Amino acid sequence: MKNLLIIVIGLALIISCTPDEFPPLGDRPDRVQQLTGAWKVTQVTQTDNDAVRKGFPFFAQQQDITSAFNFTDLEIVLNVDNSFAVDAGTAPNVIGMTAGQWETDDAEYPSEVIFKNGGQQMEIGIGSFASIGEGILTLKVIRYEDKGDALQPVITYEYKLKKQN
Amino acid sequence: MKKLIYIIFLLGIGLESFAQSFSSDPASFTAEDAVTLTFDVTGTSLAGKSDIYLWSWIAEGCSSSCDAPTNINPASSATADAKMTQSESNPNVFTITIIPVDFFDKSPSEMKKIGVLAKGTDWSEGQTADYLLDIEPLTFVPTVDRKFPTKATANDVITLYLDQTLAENLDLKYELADFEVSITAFDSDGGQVGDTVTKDAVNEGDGIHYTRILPQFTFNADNIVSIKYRFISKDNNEVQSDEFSYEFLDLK
Repeated sequence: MKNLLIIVIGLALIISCTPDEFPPLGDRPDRVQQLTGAWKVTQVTQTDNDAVRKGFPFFAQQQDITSAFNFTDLEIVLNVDNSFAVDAGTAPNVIGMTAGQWETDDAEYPSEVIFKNGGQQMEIGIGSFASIGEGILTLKVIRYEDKGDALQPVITYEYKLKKQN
Repeated sequence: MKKLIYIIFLLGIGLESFAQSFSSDPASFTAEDAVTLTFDVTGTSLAGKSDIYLWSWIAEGCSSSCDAPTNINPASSATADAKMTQSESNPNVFTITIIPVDFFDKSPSEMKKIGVLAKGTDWSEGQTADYLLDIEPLTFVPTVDRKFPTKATANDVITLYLDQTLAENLDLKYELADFEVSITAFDSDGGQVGDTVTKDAVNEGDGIHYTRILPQFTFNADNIVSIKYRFISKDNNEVQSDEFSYEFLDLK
């Protein structure tokens, strides 16, 4: 009886230790394709990088400036044919151009969106792809101070955008 | 009793040696202050040597890469910034002046305490004891005319604050009405750019009022290098702040 019990327990353990099958990882997401579409600003935050470096209180480090200049009016359309259009409404046009061509710095692992029109060019950093599946994109613009031997970040703007279609 | 006195005497000499062997000037400093470290290596294995180097690390506040970039052994051209200056009057006294943020290439918020010691060209030549130094925090000081951010271009959003509680003018300090802000922009020749703009200030409470502008957008001009502004009571335009100013930088 005791031997039978040992055998049954042993069999149960062997069966329960069968490895699970992992689902396939799937294809790597096409980040450039994920960027295409119409994007509207939902939030803008401004950070004083100097204040962050010095460990100042939070209210002196960062501010939500979304409502300051109707930034939610701002819409950026990134087309599949690499043309873009910007409709700023009553907000400041942070891109500095209303139309032109767009591209990324790297097709597989983009970290910047580059806007061009003739001799004009503007690069905006991609803050995060984490919520792109939910139609949310974060773009970053950083201002730097030339310290001689290095560029030090002074102001960081983070633009949160929601896909419109 | 004689043995006890002897022990106390020896301890006294030891303590006296510690007190003379290291000092910092100033004794209290922030991460952005220049501080001169002085080592007296008399009676140590470094006595008589002329090439003495600072070895330093962030003892508190740092999460990674907490050694100074010059912490390389043996010393070489890469450690030139850590080489100490030998005193002319006492060859066993060595000094070095550093600014912690530059020396460690770290931000002030990452440095609460640093450790230092003096060493020869190689560890085999000897070293002093470790000395730990507290770094005073950079203090945020509220002002009557705070600006956010503290550095900006004319193409940035800037928030201009009035803190009534810090005003010396008592009429301003105790004014109960809301304020408007009169703002004038200037070019590099000191000439006014466009018209003076008046904007309502937001009353944040606790005596804090603010307004936001994006100078190039607000004045529709791209040649602005500075602004001057003052807060004016909406109930009594004779109750005003001093005239404040903001100079814009050329950021990249």
